[in-house]
Amino acid sequence: MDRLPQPADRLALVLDQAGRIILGKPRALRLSLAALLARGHLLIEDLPGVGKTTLAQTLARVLGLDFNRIQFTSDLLPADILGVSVFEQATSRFTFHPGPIFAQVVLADEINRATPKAQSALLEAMEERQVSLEGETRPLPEPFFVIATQNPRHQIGTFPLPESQLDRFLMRITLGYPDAAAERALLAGNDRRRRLPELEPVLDADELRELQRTVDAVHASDALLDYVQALVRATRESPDIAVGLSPRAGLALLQAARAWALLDGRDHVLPDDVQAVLPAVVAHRLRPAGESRLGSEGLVDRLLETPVP
Amino acid sequence: MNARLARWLARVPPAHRLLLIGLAMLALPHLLRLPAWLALAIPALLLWRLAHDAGRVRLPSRFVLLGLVAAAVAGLFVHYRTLIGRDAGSALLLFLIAAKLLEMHRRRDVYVVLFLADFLIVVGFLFEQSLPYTLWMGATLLILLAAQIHFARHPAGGDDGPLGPDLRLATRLLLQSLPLAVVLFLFFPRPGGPLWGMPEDALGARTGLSATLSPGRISHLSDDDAVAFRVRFRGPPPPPGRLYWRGLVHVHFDGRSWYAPHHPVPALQPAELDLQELSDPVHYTVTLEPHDRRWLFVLDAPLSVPLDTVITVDRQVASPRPVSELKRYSAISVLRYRLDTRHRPGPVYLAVPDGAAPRTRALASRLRAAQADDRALVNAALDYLRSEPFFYSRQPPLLPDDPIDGFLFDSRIGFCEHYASAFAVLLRLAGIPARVVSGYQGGEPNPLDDYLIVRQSDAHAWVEAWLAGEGWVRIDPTAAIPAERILETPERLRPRRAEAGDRVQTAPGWLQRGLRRIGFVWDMLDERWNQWILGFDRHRQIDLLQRLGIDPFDWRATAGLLGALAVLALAGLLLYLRWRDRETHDPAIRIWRRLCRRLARHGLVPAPGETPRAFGRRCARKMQGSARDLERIVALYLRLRYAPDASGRDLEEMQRRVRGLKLDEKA
Repeated sequence: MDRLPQPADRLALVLDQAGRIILGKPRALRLSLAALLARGHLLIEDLPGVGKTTLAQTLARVLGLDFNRIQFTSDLLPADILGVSVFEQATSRFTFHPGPIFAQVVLADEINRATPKAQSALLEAMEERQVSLEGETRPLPEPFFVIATQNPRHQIGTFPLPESQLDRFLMRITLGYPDAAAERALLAGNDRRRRLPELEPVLDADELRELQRTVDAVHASDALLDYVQALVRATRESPDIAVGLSPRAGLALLQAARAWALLDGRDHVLPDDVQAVLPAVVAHRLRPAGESRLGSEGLVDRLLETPVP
Repeated sequence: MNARLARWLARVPPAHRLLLIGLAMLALPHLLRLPAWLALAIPALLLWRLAHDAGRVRLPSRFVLLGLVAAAVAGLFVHYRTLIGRDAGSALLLFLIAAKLLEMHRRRDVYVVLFLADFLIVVGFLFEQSLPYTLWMGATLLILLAAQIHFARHPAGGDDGPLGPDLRLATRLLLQSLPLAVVLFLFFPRPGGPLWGMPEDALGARTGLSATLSPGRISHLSDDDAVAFRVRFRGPPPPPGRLYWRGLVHVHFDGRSWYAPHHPVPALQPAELDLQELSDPVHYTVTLEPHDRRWLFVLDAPLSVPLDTVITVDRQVASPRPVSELKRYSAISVLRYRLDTRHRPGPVYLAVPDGAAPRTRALASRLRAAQADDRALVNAALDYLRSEPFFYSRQPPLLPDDPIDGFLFDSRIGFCEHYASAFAVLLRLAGIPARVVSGYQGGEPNPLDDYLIVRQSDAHAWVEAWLAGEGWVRIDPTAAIPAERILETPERLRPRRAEAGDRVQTAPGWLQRGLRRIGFVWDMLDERWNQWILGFDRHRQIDLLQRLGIDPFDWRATAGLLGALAVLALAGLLLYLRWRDRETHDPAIRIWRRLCRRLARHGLVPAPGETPRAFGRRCARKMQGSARDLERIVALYLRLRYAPDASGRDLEEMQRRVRGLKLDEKA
């Protein structure tokens, strides 16, 4: 039995629904869903206006999750993200007003426009899945999925995320311009966002949590673990790479591959799944060595040549 | 200033730095041999290139370069009178390499420089083959190879990237080439002559014994510490005082000089040897440094000599050709003996030209009148040396007139040649047959290894006299001089009585002791190098082949050996590959590999990093006719390798399907 009809079919339905809004981006959509299933967070690096926000809203809608958007600006404060306690005259007590981070899907737009202080407030919450304020720890909702967007680095007035922070995103993807057919459909059709409410949620939060647990159960054989290890080792031994992948990155790669296998309807991971998620999981964690002339894409291509055991 | 220099050098691309270092290392040993102007010009050219790479100066135009080369070629021709041959050729090559640096613009030029440099490394061995030189050239080759790898890896400009990986790869390549080098060294057919020899120019002046002995013409004895030969004894070495290494036997005396008989002399057959052994024979092996003469050195007196040598009536051992490369031979000697007792030697051993040495003649008559017995006369003559004020000096005055009378009655200062020569003349004039023998005396044991080092400074001359009933007897008149009449430092006195082993302990100061020890270690390494590398000549190669049971003169057997070696190497490689793949006890992988081998025959090979599934799909597209079967096999393989619930039945099915698979491109 290598097919799990039910979860795979449900997920296919999710992708199908979301694909009606997000035109011509099936791979980006699939990767985003895989990141969500693997309990990771997603970084989208692209120009404004290619549909980052729509993607986040669509996913939240189709999966039946609540959604908040935080626009990052240079004067954004941690409290604007996490929330504040306000003294209320009526009750003579401090009442906590949760910030926009208390949602199941959070879109952190243009994260590199904010100061490192605000950035790290978000990133800590992402990592801990809870918010500690004024001595009180408040858990974030479950599932909790952050989609951060970032303008390409060369734009003026940005604070690029340091590598240690980039490591906290399971995947980094780019959307890119739509192809001609998708763009034409976009132009011809209504505003996609207005069609959002028409979408019927396919799943709910409980079902999604169940699916996340199913991902954990996807089998990774010894041969596959060998392959993941070989990949990680290759990054550490390559003269073209400044710093190899961390153990956390290796785990992330495996978990993303599991989610990909589940999306493919399998109960076990194949090297093909690892290769499918490898660029999204690994590229933002690798920095070319000083002497190397390969970009991070070149590094990933080189990495994909690692023999499959 | 240093910081500025460092900044300046940092601008030189690393690969060029490496190349220039390699070339400087290559040129260094050659510079000493070159005419002075060229020895200055070559570093200048290298520096020119360095300065250019640092962005300081421009390279010369084509015309300037042409002029430089023309001038150098003319200079070389004037100096060597030729442009070919070892010396002129290598000098020209070295200059051309340095000049090529100044028009090195493209990768092709770099390779020209590198290949010429590689060739020059080989040429260098025509001059020298010592161990330090070989190590130096090995390091040079490594650097040049690393530079070459760097240029090959970075075709665009070749100016960036770290050098570490290139050096590592170069080291690995050199190490990997060693086994092949060993096989070629052992089995490649060797010419009969010297491996590196070029006899025309190689016969330069080398220190060693001369065929002519002219006491009074040489005003000082050399203190050359160069090794003459090394000896390994089978069994314990005899005491140093008994080690008289016979070389040349001088029979003819013309009043001034002694001459060894000219070659060819009638060789002695073994049956003609009239030798009584009075002690046990001593077995030993000599490794003789090349001295460009035919004679060999053996312990007095030789009992058995190497096969390819001749022994003359004077017991002089000669090789058929001048010893122009390291020669190793074994011999057997007896240290106490009776030689040629049966026949009194001919008149040639009594000949002294008329009119030569009149005062010595008178002394001989006086001694003869006092002593009728030959043995008594010899002792009386030795007593004369002892009682009269004779001195030993390595820098005696010249004797322009009669060297015998001048030494015996006027100067009375001399070294072994003076004593031996005068003593032999004295005996001859008293009617006792006598000859002068030159060779070496003693030797210094290397305390770290059981062999003896005999140096040029151990050269010695002594007398052999024929006494009735005793035959030829060795007499060392120099040894009759008491120690207090030695005019130079006693440390340098011959014969060296002290054992070198004692000297190691008694030498003052730890530093001197340490240096001495290092000296012995070095000599040991040198000895091994000579024995095993340079001494591996045609004879030893034939010897080795014969010991391996192969007739080296039978090409079929040799070809058989090489074939067997190739098969062995191949088998070793296969074993290694199996060992490397030993983890593949997973039967699914074995079946999969079998399938891959079959697919490879159709040109289907997995790309680097291609997954089995992707490869299987690609194969199915190509092999339309077998697409279904292939897909099923791949699915089974993936299940066996990656799924949690694979069973033995899956394996059987995969095996069956692979076995029954018919690969067909057409649907």
